[in-house]
Amino acid sequence: MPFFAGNDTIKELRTALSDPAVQADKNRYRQVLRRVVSLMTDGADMSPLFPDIIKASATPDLVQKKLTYLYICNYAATQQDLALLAVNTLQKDCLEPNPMVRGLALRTMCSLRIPSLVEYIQMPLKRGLQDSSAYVRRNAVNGCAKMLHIAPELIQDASMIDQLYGMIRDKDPIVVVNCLQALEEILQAEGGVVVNKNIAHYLLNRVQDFSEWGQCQVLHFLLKYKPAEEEETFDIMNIVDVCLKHSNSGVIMAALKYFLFLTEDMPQIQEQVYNRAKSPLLNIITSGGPELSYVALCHIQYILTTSPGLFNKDFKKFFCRYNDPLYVKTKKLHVLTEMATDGTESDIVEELSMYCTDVSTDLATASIQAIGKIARRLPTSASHCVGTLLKIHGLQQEHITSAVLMALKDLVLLYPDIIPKVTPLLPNCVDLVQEGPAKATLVWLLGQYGHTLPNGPYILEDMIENVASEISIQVKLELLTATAKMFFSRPAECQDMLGRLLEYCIDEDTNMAVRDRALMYYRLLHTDVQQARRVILGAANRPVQIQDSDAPGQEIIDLQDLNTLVPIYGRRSWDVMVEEQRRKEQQTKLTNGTSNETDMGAEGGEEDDLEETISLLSPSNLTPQEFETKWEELDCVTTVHLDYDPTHSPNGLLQKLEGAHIFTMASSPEDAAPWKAFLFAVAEMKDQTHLVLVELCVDRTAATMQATCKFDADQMEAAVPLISQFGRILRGTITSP
Amino acid sequence: MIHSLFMINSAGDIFMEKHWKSVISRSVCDYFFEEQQKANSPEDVNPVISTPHHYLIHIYRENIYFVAVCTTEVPPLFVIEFLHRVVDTFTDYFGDGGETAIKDNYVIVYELLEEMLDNGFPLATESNILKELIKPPNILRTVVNTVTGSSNLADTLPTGQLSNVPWRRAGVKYTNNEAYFDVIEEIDAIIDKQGSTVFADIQGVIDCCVKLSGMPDLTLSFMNPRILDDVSFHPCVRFKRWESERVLSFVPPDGNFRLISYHVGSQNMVAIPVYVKPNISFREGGGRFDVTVGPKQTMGKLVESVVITCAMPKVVLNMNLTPTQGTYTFDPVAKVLTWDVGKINPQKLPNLRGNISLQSGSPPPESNPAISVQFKIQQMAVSGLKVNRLDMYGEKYKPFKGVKYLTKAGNFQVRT
Repeated sequence: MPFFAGNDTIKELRTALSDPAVQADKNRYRQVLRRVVSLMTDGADMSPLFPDIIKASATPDLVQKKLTYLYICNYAATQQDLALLAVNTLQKDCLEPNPMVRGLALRTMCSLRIPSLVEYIQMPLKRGLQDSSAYVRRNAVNGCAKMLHIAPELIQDASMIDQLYGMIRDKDPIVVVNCLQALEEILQAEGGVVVNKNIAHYLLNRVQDFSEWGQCQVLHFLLKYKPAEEEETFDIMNIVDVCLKHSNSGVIMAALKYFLFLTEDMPQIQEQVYNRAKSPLLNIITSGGPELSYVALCHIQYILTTSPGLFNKDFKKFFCRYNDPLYVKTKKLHVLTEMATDGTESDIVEELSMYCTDVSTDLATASIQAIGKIARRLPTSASHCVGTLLKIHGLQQEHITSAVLMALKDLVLLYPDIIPKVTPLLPNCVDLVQEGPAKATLVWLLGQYGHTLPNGPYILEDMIENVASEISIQVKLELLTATAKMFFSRPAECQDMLGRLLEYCIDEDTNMAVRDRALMYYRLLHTDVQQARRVILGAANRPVQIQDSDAPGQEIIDLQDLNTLVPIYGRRSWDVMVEEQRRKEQQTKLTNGTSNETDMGAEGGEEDDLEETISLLSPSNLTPQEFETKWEELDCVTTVHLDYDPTHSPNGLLQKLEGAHIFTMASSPEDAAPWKAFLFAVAEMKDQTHLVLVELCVDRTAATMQATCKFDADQMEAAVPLISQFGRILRGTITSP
Repeated sequence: MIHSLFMINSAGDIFMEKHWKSVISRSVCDYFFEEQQKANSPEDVNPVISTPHHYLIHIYRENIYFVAVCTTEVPPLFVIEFLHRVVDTFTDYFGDGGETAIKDNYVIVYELLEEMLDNGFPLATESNILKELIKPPNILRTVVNTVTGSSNLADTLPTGQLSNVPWRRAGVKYTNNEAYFDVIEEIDAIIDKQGSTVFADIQGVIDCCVKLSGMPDLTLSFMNPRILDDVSFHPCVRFKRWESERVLSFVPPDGNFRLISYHVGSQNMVAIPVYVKPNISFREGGGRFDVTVGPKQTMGKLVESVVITCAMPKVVLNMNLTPTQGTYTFDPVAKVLTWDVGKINPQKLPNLRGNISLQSGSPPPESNPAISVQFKIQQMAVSGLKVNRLDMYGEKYKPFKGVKYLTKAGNFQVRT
């Protein structure tokens, strides 16, 4: 945990650092520096020592240098003025004969991240790119990427970029990879580094030279080049083939993705690729650490959606080990469920039933659900699965019984012939199942099928006795329905208890839903019993369809997603996450964006007075009535025509506008045509605030939109800058990506 | 790619952090802690966690969480492999990668992290090259350092970085030239109650210790290379020659490295070298425990270092057993029974039997615990793999060569 070193410690260290006796002794001096760095890493604020450390950095001793560099990097950002002093030493170090020192100095200098120092760094950086030592060149190339954020004009310079492109041909493989990476970052706006045929072939020929990490990255960059001819594709595949046999799983996955990319239009070959990648993938699962095996499982699950049969023969590799972490076990369960076919189903279900007795109740529940899912997916396996479930049910454990009941509930709807097997179990469950959802399921089953049990009504009666102590609303609702259903099949036994239940629910229960349902039943029964029967029992044996929320096939596999985080989260939740992040970023960008807009207007001053800039303020309260009257009143009107990008939803547009402080008063539903929205904003100009009202009208078929803006301004002349600037903000916001 | 790295111990302290780009506040770890709270045991924390602005990818090793913070979309396997490599390097440098070792050597740790990654991308991870850049600490060197005042840092530029072979430094010199190869095979298996194999497969590796001067070019051939069909290689192995001739031809890195790892899967029958005859039964208030181990297909080799562990159900109070050989312990808190058997004598099979006492009043557990078995067999590779010969080209001297075989249990479980 971070703590603050007292002034005493700092004073003591400072005396030590400036003590000539210590300075003379290399080892003692190092010890002191080491203590400073160690305190720093513990989170103590050592910044007061900055001047002393800078003095210490001017030394021929490499250890001392490294320690001081470590310190300088850490505090430079907070001590910008003093950092200037450090630059002097660093610059000198960049000219040292020892390449290690040159490299270190360059790396440190680029890591300072202080914009005011750019001019001092420029020269050493350019020299570093041409240095004879590969170590220095690596650091220089990485330095370029680091400097991008503080001095884009220096790095995004044409000659610099040309030089970097030239360095892709460097003889040191790490320089090559760093170079590609740096270019990718620098040229992000133009879509990253360009990989043409020449570069691609050059990289492919050197693929063996790169380190494993380099291979991962190079394989990623190669995705930018698609070979034109089939022959070329095959040549490339021959070269990259070795990567599939790599011991680093990152390389394997990158290579797999590259192969699939190459064979995108050749389905038969793609199948071969999958087969070739099969055993490396399985190896990651069986021999990799749990984290690797988890990620690999996620990918396999993802791949299974397109080629379902791929791993069928190897299903045993997916069996859980008792020392697998829970997240691996759960993932394996999912994969096993999806892999089950007519041939393997019995083995898999057998295995799953082993997990039901696992110490982890989560896993036990999940495995029972998995069996249920297999039964739903493979009608031929249903009887075996149900048999297994019934056997598991015999274990008489609360969580197991609950899960079994929930699984069976779905199955009885799909396969009505199992009903006679299920109903006799119900009485045993009553004492075991206590929790809300499972109990509700039990009650529902009793209501639906319990009339065949001799003591069916009496089970319900016991529950009705204790209804006052029942907390779950769901259970109460189910109990009402179940008792009512039971009443129609065995009226003599049930009439009394139904009456008691209704009485309790209507008079004493505090929940509205329960009361309302009880009242409804009461009134139905009161008016016409036959009608009530029709309403409550409904049409029997409706065909049922159960959709699994995570059923396979719903996710559309996209090649681009392999070897990314998408397979781990699943496409849909990933999209949601990314959207969320984008929105947040956009909001911050937009608020900055609007002020930029106005700044630009001020600087350019083409048609506006220099000082007349507007900014949009946070909302004031405006009621729809006020809006309406204002809209009628105002006569200072301007219309802006814009293109409408049909890929953006109108609601997204409104969100964007809201980010720019233009708020929505009302809007038509998403799919309405033409889509309209009323917006308002408060603009401040020359210390005066003006209300701006906007009517936005989108014509989807013509992909255009029209914004009618009304301004609350006294004179037309004063409103001119307001109108033009507001128009610019609106345009900028809407067209921003 | 990798923005920052946090190291968190099991008590939840962030005891070390390293940022390669801008500094990311420690508070990002709160998302990790939240996830950690949900997990039942330390291993169960999901390795990939998303937060509003970052992705946290972590591995759990040596009771430490190594949490990498990434801001952009990353290949997850890449990051996880890299984290493992970081820990491997620590273990290589300090003997173990635990918290104390890291804290004792924080300066070296920082130097290593600095050299391994720059601007978020891996630089040098080969232990050969790193050791040239940063010398590992050892007790002797600490003594020497204090006496002579020399340092842990190399004062010269690492020569290896400029050699044509990225994994080998130039100008290696030894007085004794030797090359040792260890063929190590682990059996992963699940055996069911009846003794039949549910699943078995063999993970094999060939680990080398090569101390040869100059630039030797080695060729290793096998009697039966056909066994190796699912292989991954060290980058030094020439893949084309393997494809065409089934020999391993390579210029080795200097020192210890893993030449290949391979996998013998279910298509080949795996000979299970030991069997376990369990007989565990529970009844109200107690139960019987009776386990016998014996050799099965060992090709006449001795089965050694046999250890049997069994995680008993929570309701087990104590166990009162008698082993015919070895010692047993029962940890009443973790409910783990460990029986250190030692060597198996085929004439007199080791057996452990006795009574189990359960907590009074609680029902007997509905399932029997799984037994996991550890063993070692020297001088045997269970897959049958045999090295034929090792030839060296490119250098004049005659090296000393040696091959050792070892079979051991990986994840070997018996269900009861």
